[in-house]
Amino acid sequence: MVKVSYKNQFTYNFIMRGMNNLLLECKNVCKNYGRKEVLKDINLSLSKGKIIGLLGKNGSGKTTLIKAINGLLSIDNGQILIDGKEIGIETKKIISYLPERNYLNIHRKVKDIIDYFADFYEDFDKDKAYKLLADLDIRAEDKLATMSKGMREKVQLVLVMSRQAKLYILDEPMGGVDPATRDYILDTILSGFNNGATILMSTHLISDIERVLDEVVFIDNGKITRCESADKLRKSTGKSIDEVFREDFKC
Amino acid sequence: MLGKVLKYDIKAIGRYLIPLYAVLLGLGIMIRILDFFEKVSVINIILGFMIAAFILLITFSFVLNGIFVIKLYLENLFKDEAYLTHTLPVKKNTLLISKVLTAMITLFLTFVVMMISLIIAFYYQGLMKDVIHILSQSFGGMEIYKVILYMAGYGLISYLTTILMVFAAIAIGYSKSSNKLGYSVIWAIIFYFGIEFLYLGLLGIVMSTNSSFITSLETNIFMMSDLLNFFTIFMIFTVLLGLGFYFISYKFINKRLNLE
Repeated sequence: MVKVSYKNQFTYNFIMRGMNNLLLECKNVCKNYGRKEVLKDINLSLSKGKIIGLLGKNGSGKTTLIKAINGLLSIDNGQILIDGKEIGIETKKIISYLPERNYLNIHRKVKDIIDYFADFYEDFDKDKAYKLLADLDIRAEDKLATMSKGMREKVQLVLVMSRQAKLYILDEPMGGVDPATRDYILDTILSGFNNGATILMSTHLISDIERVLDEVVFIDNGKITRCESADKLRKSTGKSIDEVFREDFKC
Repeated sequence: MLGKVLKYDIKAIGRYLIPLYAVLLGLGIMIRILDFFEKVSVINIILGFMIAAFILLITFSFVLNGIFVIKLYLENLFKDEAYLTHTLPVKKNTLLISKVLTAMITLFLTFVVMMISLIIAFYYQGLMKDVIHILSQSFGGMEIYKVILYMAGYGLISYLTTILMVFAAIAIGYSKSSNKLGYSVIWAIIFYFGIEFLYLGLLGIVMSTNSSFITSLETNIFMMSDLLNFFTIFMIFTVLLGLGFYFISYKFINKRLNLE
């Protein structure tokens, strides 16, 4: 088992910084819930135009890190920069975020939610949203309250991927979706984002997304344990990322 | 952006308020219709129940309005919907101001609907004259319109300050990692008793520095100028408290956000 040491992680980050191609930088980010340390001195740099898998067990700190990047919770220490800017209105304009929960008002119709997104996000493409909905057999006239959990997740994904954002952050994008639809969703994600944009995706379904990942970030107990190229990891270990994950996080 | 946020806030709260308005107006119309058949004993009993329900609903309309505004604030800024609200490219101040404006607009609408439903239910020729006569008797010798204006202004300010107090308590409570609702309730209680204590202190200061007001109270003859001065001091104080609560809410939403 090859693990990237913090020294190597910083070297990696340094190289990325040298390329002047950074989209996301987390510097010494710490977060506590009461006495429990949830994020422990996280240092992470992600470059533009990559698909990155944020992988870890339940409770490892994936969602907390994602929430911190989106400004949904305050960090206790450190700094987060997106495209060189601190979290604020400008960073929210370039991040398209899919949380792991339903964040839409279920009493609204899908078309009203599309109008809502179009009202607030300049980069929202309504035509694309309607096309994706049609592909997934979702009627824009329907209220979310009449839909199943899986269907609501699809609507959320459609909304998020209908933006021309620089950074897509997807927290468990296929968690509640049936296996038959996963490939379509993955294709939607891949075809939906513009070149030069970055996707940071957290998921447990590693085997489903492994083929599309450029880089992987392993997080365990609030610390980053791996941060490297997916191809290099496969080559150096001779195993799939799913297998490496199972070994690293064996109970 | 404020216009857009406000539009969606009003739409969201409309889901609760429109049924309330429909019930108020419906009861008003029913009371007016049944009133024509009041000589039929069964209908008279039903009418009595309807009037009781109507008065009860009228009394609690503003309370319900406030509860709906607080529910909107809680769900929109601290529950699941907050994951969307706080990732919109909108300033936190704009989000908060929109909630305050929503409270003001819906309060006005509730008042208008309440008055319309009251008029539908109980209007008769000369009603306004009688109302003014009763009010004039209650505030003997005073400029009645001025007093009503002051009372309405003070009512609005107190209403908004109370809502902002709950906003601040929720903002503090939901910045905690656990027992968020519990902490919110505790902070609301602390704020409530704190305000009561401050009002008592202010009353003491006003009384001790304004002897003519005490004399007026003792002789039971209110002087118009004394009463209005009294209102003005408390209004300014209440506005300051409201601003303080707004500032607390803003600080916690902006710097201490901690969504579940």
